Amino acid sequence: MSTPPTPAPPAEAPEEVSADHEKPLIEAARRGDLDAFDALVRRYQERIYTTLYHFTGNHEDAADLTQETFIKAFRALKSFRGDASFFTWVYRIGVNKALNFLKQSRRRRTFSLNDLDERGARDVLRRLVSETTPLRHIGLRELQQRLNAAMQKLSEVHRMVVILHDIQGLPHEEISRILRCNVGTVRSRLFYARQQLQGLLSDLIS
Amino acid sequence: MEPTHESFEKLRRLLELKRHELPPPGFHDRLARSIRRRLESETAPAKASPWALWTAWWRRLGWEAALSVALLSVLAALYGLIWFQGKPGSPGNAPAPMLTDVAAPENGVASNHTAGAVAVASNLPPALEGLARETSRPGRTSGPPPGLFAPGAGLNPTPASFRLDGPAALAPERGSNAIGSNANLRPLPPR
Repeated sequence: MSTPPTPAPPAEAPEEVSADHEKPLIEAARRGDLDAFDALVRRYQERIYTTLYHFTGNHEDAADLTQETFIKAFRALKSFRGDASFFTWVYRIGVNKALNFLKQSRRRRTFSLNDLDERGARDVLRRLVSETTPLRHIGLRELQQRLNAAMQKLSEVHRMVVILHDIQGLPHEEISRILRCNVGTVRSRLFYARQQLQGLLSDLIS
Repeated sequence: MEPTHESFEKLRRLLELKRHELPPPGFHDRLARSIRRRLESETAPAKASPWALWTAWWRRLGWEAALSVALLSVLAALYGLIWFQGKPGSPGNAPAPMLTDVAAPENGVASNHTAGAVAVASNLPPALEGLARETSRPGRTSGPPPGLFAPGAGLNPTPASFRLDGPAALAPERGSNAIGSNANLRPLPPR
């Protein structure tokens, strides 16, 4: 029996951890070294994919967009000046890809539920249940569906801020660099998005 | 509902549940490989040395599949060879024809064409030997092969030729939809 995969941890300030280590990789990839670029892909693909999955709500779309993101990143590596970290730069490409994708396909998309890391999710739920009475009567899958439905009702920019901050755990400053807006805008978008979500999930968070 | 710090905190913890939504096992590995494949196929034409293409293809295929393809190719080649050897009339069964020189004919035009290497299979039956000799000379001849339409052979070929019967032939006949219908074509009398 295979061991279940561990969920993606919330992003810690990645540019501090790996900026020095990845410089040679970036330089090699810029010269066309696919092994070096492969190492960069493996380092960041999980975070990019997870963000795009929460954003599009669809596994296949997220996989396609993740591919497109890295392909574009490889082609554009020559224009990468290093003003931002590679992580921020790739994230920005991914976010732009996702926003363009959703603009082009306005039709309502079906949410493909990924596998749930049951043990981890139940731990989170157990903690929540001890604080929130209505959650005692709801199953894990149902809760997941309610959450996804509520997320999809947010506008694209608000959803993106919630994903990057509350799900991915990125700081406001990093989000402002990715979305190319100031920190105040990020904070106000986050506040508005949370208000919306609170209204949509009020029966669960009473 | 009035947003409070406490309710925002509950919402944030609820959203943490989404961190536990995961793709199927091995998905990220496959995704990385497919990105690599796409990049390889994009960069391949730039450095399209046969060896690079071969190694890229081999890596993509995997050794099990490559081995299967190689084995099937060998089996197909062997089967084809055996079938070809067993076929009647194949070069493996029939004796090889002996090539001999043939003298050029008296006809000057033909001799120009046939001067050089003209070969006739010498082991043909006697009835076909003459015909083979004739057909092996690709010279210009005015008539059919000798003997084919010889007097008394019962064959009287009539040339099939037609002539348009004057300018009226192009005008459609009354009641006919066709322009220049076959009714206006008169067969010529045999010469």
